Amino acid sequence: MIMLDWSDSARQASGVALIFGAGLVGGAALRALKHALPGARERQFAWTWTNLSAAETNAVEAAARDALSAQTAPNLSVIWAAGRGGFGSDSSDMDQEFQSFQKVIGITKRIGDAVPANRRKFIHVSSAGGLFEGQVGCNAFADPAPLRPYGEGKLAQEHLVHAEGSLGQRHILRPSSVYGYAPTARRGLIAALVAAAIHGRPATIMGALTTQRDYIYAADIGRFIAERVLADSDTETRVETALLASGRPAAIFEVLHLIEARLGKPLLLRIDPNPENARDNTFLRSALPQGFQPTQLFEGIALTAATVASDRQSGAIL
Amino acid sequence: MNDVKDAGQLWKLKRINVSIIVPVYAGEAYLEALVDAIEKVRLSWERQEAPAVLTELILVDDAAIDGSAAVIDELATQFPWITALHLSRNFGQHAATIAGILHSSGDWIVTLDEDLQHPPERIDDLLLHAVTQNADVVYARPASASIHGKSWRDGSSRGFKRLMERLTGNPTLRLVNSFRLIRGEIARSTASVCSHNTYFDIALFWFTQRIEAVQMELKDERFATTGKSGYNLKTLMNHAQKMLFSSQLRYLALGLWIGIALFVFSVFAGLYFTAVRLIAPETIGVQGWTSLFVVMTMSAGLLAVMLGLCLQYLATLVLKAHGRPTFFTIDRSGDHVLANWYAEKTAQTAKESELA
Repeated sequence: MIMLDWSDSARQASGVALIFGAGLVGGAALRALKHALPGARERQFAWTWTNLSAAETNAVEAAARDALSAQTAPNLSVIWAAGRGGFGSDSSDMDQEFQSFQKVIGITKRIGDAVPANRRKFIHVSSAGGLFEGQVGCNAFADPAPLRPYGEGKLAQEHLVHAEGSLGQRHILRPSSVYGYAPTARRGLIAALVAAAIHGRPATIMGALTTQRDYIYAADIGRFIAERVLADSDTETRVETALLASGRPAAIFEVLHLIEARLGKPLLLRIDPNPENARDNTFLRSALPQGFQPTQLFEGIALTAATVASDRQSGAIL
Repeated sequence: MNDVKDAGQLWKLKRINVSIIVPVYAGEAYLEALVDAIEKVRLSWERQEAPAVLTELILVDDAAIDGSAAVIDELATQFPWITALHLSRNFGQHAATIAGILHSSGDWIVTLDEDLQHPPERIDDLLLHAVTQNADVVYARPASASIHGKSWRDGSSRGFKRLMERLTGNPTLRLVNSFRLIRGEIARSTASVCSHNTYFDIALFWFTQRIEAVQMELKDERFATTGKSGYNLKTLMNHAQKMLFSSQLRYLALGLWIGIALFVFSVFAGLYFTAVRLIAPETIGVQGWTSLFVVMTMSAGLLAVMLGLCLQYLATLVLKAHGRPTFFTIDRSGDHVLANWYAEKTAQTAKESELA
C-alpha cells in the first residue's frame, strides 16, 4: 500500500491519496499522480494480501490521519486497484478478495470522518472483462452479466461501493483487457508475448487466434485515475461508473502481427486447441467516457516492448 | 435425436453481430440518407427478431473534402451505434476501409460506399448467400454491364480485372466490388496484415477461397448524373498498381523454367556442334558461328535462370512483407443460426401468400 500526500499549491488543493495495490493499474495511477504532483511525499506500508493485521491497518490509518491533520482543507482519495483475482479464480478466492475490500472500505470510512463528504473520493477498479464476458459491441447501456465467480465478485464489490454513501464521491472504473509492463505486476498477454519474443522462447496462446478483446494501455487508466483524484471537489456526492476501454477491438492474430512487426522477430507459438477463455469481448466507442483518449494499440505495444527491453537490459529476468 | 432438437432450438438464442463500414471522402450530401437506409435495415431486423443485430456503423472520415466530418460527428452523437472515425490525413479508400474494419467487432462486416450506389437493403441477400453457402466473402455483382453509365469506365475496370486474373491465377478478381460482406474474423485478420501498398481484396484470397458473388442492380448515380466520382484516374491507377504488387505473378516461375530450358538446350547444342565440327567440318559454312551461338544461348539461359531465381526470392520476401499467413483457422459452425432463420422466414412468407 502506498500513501501520497501533497500540500496546497497554486494549481492544486492539498490532499492525501491511499493506493491499495501497486500492480499494473495501481502502479500506473501512482506514476501519473507523481508526475502531476512533483512535490508529493510517498510512503510505503507493508499492507499485502497476506498481511492484513490490525497493527498494519492501524499504522495506515494513523499515518493518513497525521497527513490530513497537517493540511488546512485536505482532500482524501482512496484507490482500490488491489484485485488479485483473475478469470481462473474460484468463489473462495473472490470471497477472500471481498473481505480485503471490506477492510479497505472500513479504513476509508474511519479516516474519512475527518474530511467533508464532498472532499472524499473512492476509486474502485473493477473489471469490464469480468462483468461483460462474452458480450460483443457493448454500448453504454449494456448490463453486466458475469459468467464466472471473478465477474460476480467484482459486481458484488461494485454494489458495496454503491451502497456506501459515506465514501463520498465514488468512481467505479471498469477497464477492459489491460496491458503494459511493470516488473512486479502480473503479466498480461501482450507483455508475455513481448518477453517471449525477446528471449526467443515459445509462448502459449490460451485462446483462439480470432478471439477479440479490447486492449487498453495501463497508463491511460493511470491518467484517468489521476484526473479524478486531482479534480476539484464537487458540491454533491455521486457515483460515476466509467468503462475504460479503447473501443477498438483486436484479434490475437493482429496482436501477434503487431508484436512481430515491432520487434522484428518471429514469435514461437503454441496454440491451445481447447482454450477455456476464448470468448470475444468488445465495446463500442460511444460507451467510453467523454474526452477519454486511449493510446492506439500499435503505439501501446511499442511502449510495452520498449519497457520490457529496457528492463531486460538492466538485468531483470523476464 | 434430442441433441439435434436442442441444437435446433438453441440457434434462436444466438446473436450475430453485423458491422457496417463506410469510408467517406465526399459524402456530405448522401450521409443522412445512407444512415436512414441503414437504420431501416437495423429496425427491420429488430422487428422481425432476427438473430442478426446491426451492432455498429463505422463512418470513416478519410480527410473528407466537403463537410462530411461535421455530419459524421453529428450522426455519431445522435445514434449510439454509429462510430465516428477521423483519419489524420487522406489515406485513400482502401486504407479507410481497413481502418474501419480494424475498429469493428461484428461476426460479419459489410463495406459499402458513401453515395448510396450500394443499397443497404440488399445486405440481407449477401448474408443469406453467405450463410447458406458457407462463404467467407460475398461481393455484390452488378447485374448490368453498365454501372457508371460510361462504357469506357466500366470497360476499363472489367478489362483490367480480367488481365489481373490471368496474370495472377486468382479467379475471384473479377468479382471484386466495394459492396462486400466478409466474415468478421477473416476481415480483421486480413486488414491487420495489410500494409499501405497491399490490395485488400487480394489479401482476402490469402485467407479464404470461399469467395462468391450475388448479382444485383447497382448504379453509380453520382457518376452517371454529375460525372463526379470518388475515384479519379490517379486513384484508379493507384488501385491497379496495388493490385499488381500485392499479387504473386504466376509467370515469374515460367521465366525461370524458360531460362533452364535455354541453358539445357545450349549444352546439347554445344555438344552437337562440337561433334559436327569434328566429324564434318565442311558443313559449317561460317567459321566462329558455332561457338558464338553456343556461348550466347548458354549465357542467356544462365542469366534467365539467375534472374528467375532472384525474382522468386523477391516475390517470397514481398509476400512475407505483405503479411501472407502460413495458415489460418476458422469456425463456420454458427452459420446455420442465420440460415435457419432465413429458412423459417421464407417458409412463413410462402405460407402467408398461400393463405392470401
